[in-house]
Amino acid sequence: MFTLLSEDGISFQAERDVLERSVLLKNMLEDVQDSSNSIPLPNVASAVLEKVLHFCEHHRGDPLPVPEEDETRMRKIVIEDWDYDFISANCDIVFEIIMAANYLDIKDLLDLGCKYVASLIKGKSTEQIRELFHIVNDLTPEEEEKIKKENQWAEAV
Amino acid sequence: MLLLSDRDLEDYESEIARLQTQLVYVEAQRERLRDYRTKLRSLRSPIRRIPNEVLSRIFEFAYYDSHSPIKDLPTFAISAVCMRWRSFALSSPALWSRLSWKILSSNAPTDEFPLHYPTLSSKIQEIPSIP
Repeated sequence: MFTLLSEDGISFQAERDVLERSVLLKNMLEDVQDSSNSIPLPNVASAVLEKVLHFCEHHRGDPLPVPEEDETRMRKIVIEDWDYDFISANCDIVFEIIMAANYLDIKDLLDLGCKYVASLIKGKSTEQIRELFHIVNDLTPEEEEKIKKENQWAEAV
Repeated sequence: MLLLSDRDLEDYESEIARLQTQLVYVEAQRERLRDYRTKLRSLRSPIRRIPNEVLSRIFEFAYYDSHSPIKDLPTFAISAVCMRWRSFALSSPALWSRLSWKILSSNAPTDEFPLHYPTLSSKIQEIPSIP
């Protein structure tokens, strides 16, 4: 068993095969034979780390996603029921989970989070997206008019 | 009596005018506060902290998973949200790689094509090339 220390000082214990879902931790564990020292994770809060470990425990033993990136692979990614329930239940911290997955290099969790956020974007208008994510429109009225004109051709297709 | 009534009416009119001015002022203050609240929320919005490469990935998933008609593709909505999103959308060739359309449909007036051709042509030239 190895011990992880969250940014707010909470310890979590997990086995090697669970932690190896993370490329970052896998590389760290290769250098660390002694499991008595805890591994500090200064960028991950305990509430998020708990969820990340829960995800990794569920997927322990699954084949790791291939590192190659291409459109075909991205199109083939399907959200399993358990994963969908997991990310939906944690939608209030989905961005924190995405950032932790990115930092720890857990590709399947990163893809799950990104795909979930993408599903929130799909079918929404620009204004609805701004409201959803609390994004301020910093485009000038002239720029907005230019975009509107540029996109007219798509409306006409 | 009539003089008194006229004076009262004038008082009421000036009071209404004063309250209307005050109402305009309070409404303007409310709008300013709303804008300020929106900006504060925006500063706290977790999507601001998402790194660029992850944001691009989210956009690509939104695009790949979409089977909408061209005008409803998320690419257009995404590219008009804010400066940061626009800059990403315009510099991501993958988001513009599935634009296909019928130039002339059988029941469309044949003069539609010349009408839209210049914007269509300039749009194609703006699309960044895929390495």
